[in-house]
Amino acid sequence: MEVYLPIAGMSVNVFLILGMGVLVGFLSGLFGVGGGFLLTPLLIMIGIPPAVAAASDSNQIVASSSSGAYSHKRMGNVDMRMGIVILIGGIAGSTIGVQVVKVLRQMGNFDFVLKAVYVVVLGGISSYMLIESLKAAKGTVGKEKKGESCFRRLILKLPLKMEFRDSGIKISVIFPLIMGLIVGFLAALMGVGGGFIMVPAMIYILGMPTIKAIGTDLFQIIFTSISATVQQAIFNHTVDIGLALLLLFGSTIGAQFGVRAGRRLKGKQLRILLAAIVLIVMMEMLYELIAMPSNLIGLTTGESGH
Amino acid sequence: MKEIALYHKLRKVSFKSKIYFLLIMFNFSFLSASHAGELAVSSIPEQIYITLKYAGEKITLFGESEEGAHIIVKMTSMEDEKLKLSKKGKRGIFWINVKSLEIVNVPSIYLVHTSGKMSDIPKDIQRRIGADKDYSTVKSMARTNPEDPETKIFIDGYVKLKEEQGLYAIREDSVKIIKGRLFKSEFFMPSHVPVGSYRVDSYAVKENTLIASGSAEIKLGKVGIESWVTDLAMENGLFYGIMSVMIALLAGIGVGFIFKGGPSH
Repeated sequence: MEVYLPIAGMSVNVFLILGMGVLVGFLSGLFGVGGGFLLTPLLIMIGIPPAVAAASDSNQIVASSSSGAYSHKRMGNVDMRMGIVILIGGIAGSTIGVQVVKVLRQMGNFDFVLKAVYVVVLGGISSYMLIESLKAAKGTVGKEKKGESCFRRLILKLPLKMEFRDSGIKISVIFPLIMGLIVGFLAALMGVGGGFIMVPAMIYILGMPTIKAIGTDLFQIIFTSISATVQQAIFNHTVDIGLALLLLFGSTIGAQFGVRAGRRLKGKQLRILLAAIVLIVMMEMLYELIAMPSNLIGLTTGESGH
Repeated sequence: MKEIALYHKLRKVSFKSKIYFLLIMFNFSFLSASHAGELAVSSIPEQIYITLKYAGEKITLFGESEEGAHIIVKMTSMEDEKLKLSKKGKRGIFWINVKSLEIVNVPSIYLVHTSGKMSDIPKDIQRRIGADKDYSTVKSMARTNPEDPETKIFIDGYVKLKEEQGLYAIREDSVKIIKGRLFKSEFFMPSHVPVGSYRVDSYAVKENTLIASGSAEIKLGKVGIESWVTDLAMENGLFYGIMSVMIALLAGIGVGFIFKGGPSH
């Protein structure tokens, strides 16, 4: 069954998009990560214009994180103060990101930058996960995280300290602000939620309790993604609501199965599997950047859609 | 329009009876118009609506000409395309866009169907009707903005790109001649063809002379929700963005309630 996407300006197979949503939702349910970082590349692979893929993905993240954020808020897992600090950074970051997207599209190199950033980020994540899971498989991973890294010590020395009572920590606002800025920027550029960077940073560097980190991350993701979506709609006209809705329904269904499957499977094998999937997507993108194009002349993803 | 309504009623009837219907239809509606030099042609459909379920559309072109004539049918866009193109070059190990130019004066679609071989048609006629095997008419009309020493490379690359997308093609032997006088050719418009007006020019060539020509017009437009969404997104981005966010929030929370517990992230 085909459906025409008005902003992407092409028709797509409904089941293909739903299937991608299911796959990414399944992975996110399984591993507890957002999955936005896989969705954008998958959409690009089936021919959705990259800028439309990233912007619609932001819109989809608004939907897929809303119910999670709502229930975490009700259970008191959101550190509001921390959330707002990160959010200030996040909105600034996504505002800069949207303008960077606009400039890059005019210069005609948005696609290249997007793919290059993806290769770097995905490559980093997958190699980190592979090393960790291989170490874990060998049993060499101890509790070395307990020891305070010098990076954390540096963060603790920063000025402008603020008390975050919900998380029981007192720390400088500079680091959360910068984290928000980076994640907001990536949200606009890549259409990702950024939980894969934010959650570990909040746990290991800020020293927040895991459940608060997840709840607060979801809280900031919603607002950062809303900011990214609205600004993409204003400045780049690239949000395809039809595409976002299809992805949402797929990923919600997938997430349910993912959570169930995750309870039965072993964590270590899961991590290796996820690392392998991320690595494959990364390789595909890298190949596109270095392989000789069949036609040297290509369309510049211009300002106007169809 | 009446003929089209009738045609749709007859759609389920066998192919043979459709042909008879068309024979009758043409005799009624076109005999008066088919004096010297004019080729009677008609496209079905004449208007293509992009709806939610649009996945491209097959266009059938019917016409009537003299017996034994060579038929050339050319579909082009009425509006010329204005596109930004980039040329890739190698920088280090990466292929990156190194130059951008705007290409103008080119149709967004250029499909030529012929009943025989292109080489059977004299060159001067090919030039006159703007249809030849290596797109030289299209290429000679095309310009870039700004003019550049590499303009030719951009134009050649553009044509190649269009061929890959199935929007530029020369297809020989793809006009069917039925019962000597009637001809028929099928075009497929992929879903990514931009909205606008398209024309189909038909030419009859006999004994190295262009004996008749005629044209039909096809309109492609978004309707209903597709046109509403596009207009809103292009003209009122702020409202569209807020609307998209609200829909996403409602849908997300709604679906979360249905599944209880909501999606984990």
